[in-house]
Amino acid sequence: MATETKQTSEPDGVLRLGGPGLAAEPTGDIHEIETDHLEVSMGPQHPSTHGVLRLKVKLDGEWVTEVQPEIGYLHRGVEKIAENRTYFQFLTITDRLDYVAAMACNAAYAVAVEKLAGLTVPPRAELCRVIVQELDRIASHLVSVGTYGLDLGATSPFIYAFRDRETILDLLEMVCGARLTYSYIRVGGVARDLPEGEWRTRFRQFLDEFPPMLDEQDTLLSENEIFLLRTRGVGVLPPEVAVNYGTSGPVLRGSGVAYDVRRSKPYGLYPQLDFNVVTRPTGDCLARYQVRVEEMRQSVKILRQCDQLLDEIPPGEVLAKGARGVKPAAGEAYASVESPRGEMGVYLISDGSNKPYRLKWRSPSFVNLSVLSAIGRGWKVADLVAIIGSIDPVFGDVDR
Amino acid sequence: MSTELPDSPEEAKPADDIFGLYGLEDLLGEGVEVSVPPVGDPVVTIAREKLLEACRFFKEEQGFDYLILVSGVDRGDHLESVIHLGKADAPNIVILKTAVPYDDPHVPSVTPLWQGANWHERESFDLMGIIYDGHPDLRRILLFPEWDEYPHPLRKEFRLPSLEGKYTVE
Amino acid sequence: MNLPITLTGIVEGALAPLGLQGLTPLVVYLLDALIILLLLIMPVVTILIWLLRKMLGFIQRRLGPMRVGPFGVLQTIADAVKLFHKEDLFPANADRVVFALAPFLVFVPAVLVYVVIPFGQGDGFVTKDLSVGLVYLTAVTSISAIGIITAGWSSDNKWSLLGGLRSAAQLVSYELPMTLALLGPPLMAGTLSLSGIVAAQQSVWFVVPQALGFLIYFIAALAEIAHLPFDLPEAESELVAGYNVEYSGMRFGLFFLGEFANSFTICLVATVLFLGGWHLPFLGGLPLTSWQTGLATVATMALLGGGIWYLNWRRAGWTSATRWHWLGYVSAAILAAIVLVAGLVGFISVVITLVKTSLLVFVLMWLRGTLPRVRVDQLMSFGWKALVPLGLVNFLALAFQAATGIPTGWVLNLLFFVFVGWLLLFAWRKRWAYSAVS
Repeated sequence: MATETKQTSEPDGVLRLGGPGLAAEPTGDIHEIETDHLEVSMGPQHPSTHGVLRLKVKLDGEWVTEVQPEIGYLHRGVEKIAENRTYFQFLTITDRLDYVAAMACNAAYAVAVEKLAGLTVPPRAELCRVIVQELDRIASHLVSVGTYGLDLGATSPFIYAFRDRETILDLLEMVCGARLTYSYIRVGGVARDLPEGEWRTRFRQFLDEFPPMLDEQDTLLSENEIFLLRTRGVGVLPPEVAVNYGTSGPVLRGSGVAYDVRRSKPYGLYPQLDFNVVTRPTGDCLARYQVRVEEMRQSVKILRQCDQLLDEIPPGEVLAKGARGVKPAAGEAYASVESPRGEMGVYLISDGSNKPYRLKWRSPSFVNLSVLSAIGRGWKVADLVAIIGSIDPVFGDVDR
Repeated sequence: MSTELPDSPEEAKPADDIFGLYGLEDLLGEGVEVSVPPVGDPVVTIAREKLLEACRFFKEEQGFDYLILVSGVDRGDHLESVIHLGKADAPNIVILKTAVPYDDPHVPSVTPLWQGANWHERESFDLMGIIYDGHPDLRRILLFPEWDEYPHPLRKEFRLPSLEGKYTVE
Repeated sequence: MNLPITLTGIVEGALAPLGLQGLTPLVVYLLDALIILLLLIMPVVTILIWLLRKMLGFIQRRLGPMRVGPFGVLQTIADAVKLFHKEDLFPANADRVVFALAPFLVFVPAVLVYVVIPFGQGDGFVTKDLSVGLVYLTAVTSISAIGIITAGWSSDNKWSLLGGLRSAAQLVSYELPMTLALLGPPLMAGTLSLSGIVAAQQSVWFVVPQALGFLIYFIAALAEIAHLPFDLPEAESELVAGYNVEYSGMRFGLFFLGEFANSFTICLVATVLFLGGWHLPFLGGLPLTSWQTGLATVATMALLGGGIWYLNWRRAGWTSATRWHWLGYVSAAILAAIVLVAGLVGFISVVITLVKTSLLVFVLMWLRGTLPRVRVDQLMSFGWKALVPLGLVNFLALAFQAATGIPTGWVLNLLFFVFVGWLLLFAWRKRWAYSAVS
C-alpha cells in the first residue's frame, strides 16, 4: 500500500495534497467502460461527522476524488451577540462555542478582556484556571480519542474514555455546579475558589487513578494492529502545509511543529509549570491520535504540580478589583489560549463602552477543518472518516 | 523550517523587539504606517494596493509563516480588513490593517500566500461583506445563500432581530 | 430417541381415522421441523442474543439489557415486538418487489441452515440428516449474500448501494477460503453428512489435526456474516448503516435477527465440524453411560461457570453482574442435573453442543468489543493474498494425507502451531509500543 503523500504544485500555486488514490490512473480494458462519479452528501446527519458537518464527497468507487466541507448548520452568530451584551454577560455565551472544552473558551475570552482592560488576575485565580483548564483538556481529549475509536468501528474505547471523563465532570461539577457549560473562569479571575476537603481528596485520587486507566484504554487502540493499519500513513499533513493552513493543536503538533500557545505565547501560570510540548513527526492520523493521548499524560503532570501549588499559594482573592463592571478604554487586543483543539484566540475591539465593539473568535476547529478538503482527497471513504475523526472538529466552535 | 522551541519557561518569554518592522516603511514608501500601541501588538496600516506586497514581505523576509486570523471590522465610516500574522516558532504577532470603503469593498486576497486565509476570508465576506479579490472560491460559508436579500450581519447597520424585530427570515 | 410415546405414533393415531396414513411421514417431518424450530432454535437464539448483549455490555463495563424480564432476558422479544409495531417504509424510488424480498433472503437462509445441523446425538436432534449436508450448508449460506446485495441495490440510496457493492466483493471473496476450509473435515471423516462428521470426531476433534483449517474457517466465516472486524457492508460510521439504511420495522428486524442468527450459525457449524459436536473432551473415546456423561457435563459447566464467576469477582468485586453470573451458572448446573436425572442422553449432548457454541459466540463478542474495522483494500488483500493460499495449501495437504496416508496435514499443523507460538512470543516481547516515544 502506498503511504507516501502525492504532492504536486499546480500552476496557480495552490498546493494540492491527498492520498494514493489520486495517482490511480485508469488502465486496462475495464476502464474503457464509461463510469460516473458518485456524488454523495455525507452529513449533516451522519454518525461520524461529529455533529453537523456536511461533506460533499465525490466518489470513484471507494476512492474519494473530491471533498468539500459545508459548514454553518450550527451558526448562531455569537460575534453579533457579543456586540449587544456587556463584557460580563457575554461570558456565558462562550460556553456554547466549544462545548466539549468550555473552560478553554471561558479562558480565551477572559484573557482577551483582561489584556484589553489591563486587569491583573490574582495568583490563586490563575492556579484555579490552570487546574480546571487542564482537567477540561483531559476530558475533551478523552471524548476525542473515544469517538475516534468509534469512527473506526471499535466501540469499547469510547465507553472506557467516558468512564474517566465522568470522574472529571464530577470534579468540575463540584467546582462550579455545571458539567458542560461551566462559566467558571470569569473576566479578572474565577467565579469562586476551588472547594476544599472532599474535592481535594477526589482530585488527588483522580491523579493517581487516571494514568493506569488511560494506559488501559490506550492499549485497546494503539496496540491494536487493525487500528494501526487504519491510521498509520493515512491523511498525511506535511508540516509546511499545516503551518500554511494555520492549523494548531494536535493537528499541527502531529505534523511535528512544536507550536503550543502555552509555550509559544505564554499566559497565566504556564511559564512556571514544567511540561513537554508533545509532537510526532509523521503527520498522519496515528500521530494526531498519539499526540492527544500523550497530552493527557502531560496534563496529569501539570495537575500534579498544581496540586503542590494549591498548598503553596494561599486561598484569597480570586477576582480582580473592578472586574465585574469592566469597561476597557478604546483599543484592541488579541489574546489566545491553548484549547484542546489548538489556538483559541479572541480579537476584541473596544470603543470605551461596556460592550465589545467587535469580537472575532479564532476557533481552532474552524481552521483545522479547512485542511480537510486538501488532505481528504485520494483516500477511501473509510479513511475520510478516520481523517475527520483525527482532526476532531467541534461544531459549536466551527460554526459559532 | 525550525520546529524547535525552548523547553525551559525562561527562554520562552516573548521577545520585545519588533523584528525590523520599521524597515517596512522604507521598503514600501507611501501608504504604510506603523504604530505600536501600549496594549497589544504592533499594528501596520497599509493601503490595499500595497497589502499583497506587504504580506509577501512579512512572510518571506520576516518569517511570519503562520496566519492567525483574517477578520473584518465595521468602523462606522469604513470597513477594515485585519490580518493577524504570527510565527510557528516565535511569539511575535503583527497586525495588518487595510481600510476598505463601503461602496467599493474590495481587498486583495492573501489566500495564495496562506491557504489558511481561505475560510477566514470566506467568513469575512459572508458576515462583513468584504470582497477578497483573487480568492479561489469566494462563497458564503456560514449563512445560507438566501441571506443575499439581507445586509451582512456583522455590519453595524444590521441590528439584531431580537432588538428591533427586523430582518426575520420567514 | 427412546421416548415411550413417539411422535410418529401420535401422528399415525391421529391420522388413521381420517384415512390419511400415507401422509404420516410428511406430517411428522413438518412437525419435527416446527418443534425443533420453535422449541429449540428460537428460544436458544433469543437467549443467546441476550447473552451476547450481556457479554458485550460486560466487556464495555455496562450492564446490558436490564429492563425487560429478569436481567433483561426478554429484551430481544421486546425488540421484535417493537419492530413489528413500526411503520414499514418503502423509499419512493425503491424497486418495491426486490426491496420487500431482500430481508427474507437474508433471514431465511440463516434459519434454513439449522435443518442439517445435528444438535445432539441421535436422530431426534437433527431435522434432516442429509447425506450431502455440507454441500447443502455451503449452498444455503451463500444465499444471504444475494439478499444483502439486492437490499443495497433496491433501496435507491447511495450509501446502501456502496454497502451492497462492498458486500458483493466481500462475500464472494471470502466464500472461497471458507469453502476450502470446510473441505477438510469430510476428507478426514469420509462423509459429507454432518452427523457422520461429528461421529468421526469421537476420539480426536478435528480442531487438533486441522487447527489451520479451523482458523481459516472462523475468519472467513466472520467476513461472510459481516461481523465486526469485517463489517464493512454495514459500517455504521462510514456508510451510515450500509445496505439496510432504508429499512424500517420488521424488515429491518429481520436483518437484525438474521445477523445474530448468523453469528450463532457459524459458531454452531464450527462446533459441529471442528470442535467435536456433542463429544466431551478426552472422554469421547471411552464407552460412557449416560449418567457418567451427564455428570461430566455438570462438572464441566460448574467448573467453567465458577471459574468465570471467580474471575469476575476478583476483578469487579461483589457487583450485580457477579451476582447474576453466579445465579446463572448455578441454575444452568441445576438444569443439567435435572436432565441428568431424567437420563436423557440426547439432551445432554445438545447441552454440550450449545456450551461449545456459546464459548465460540463469546469469542465473537470479544472480537466485537475490542476490534476496529478494517478497510476495504485491506480486507480484500487479506482474503486473496493470505486466506485463499493458506486454504489451498491446507486443503492440498489434507487431501494428500487422505489419499496416501503420508501425514502432510499433521506436518502443516505442527508448523502452524510453531508459528502461532512464535507469534505470541514475538507479540509479547514487542508489545507494539508507541507510547514510549515522547
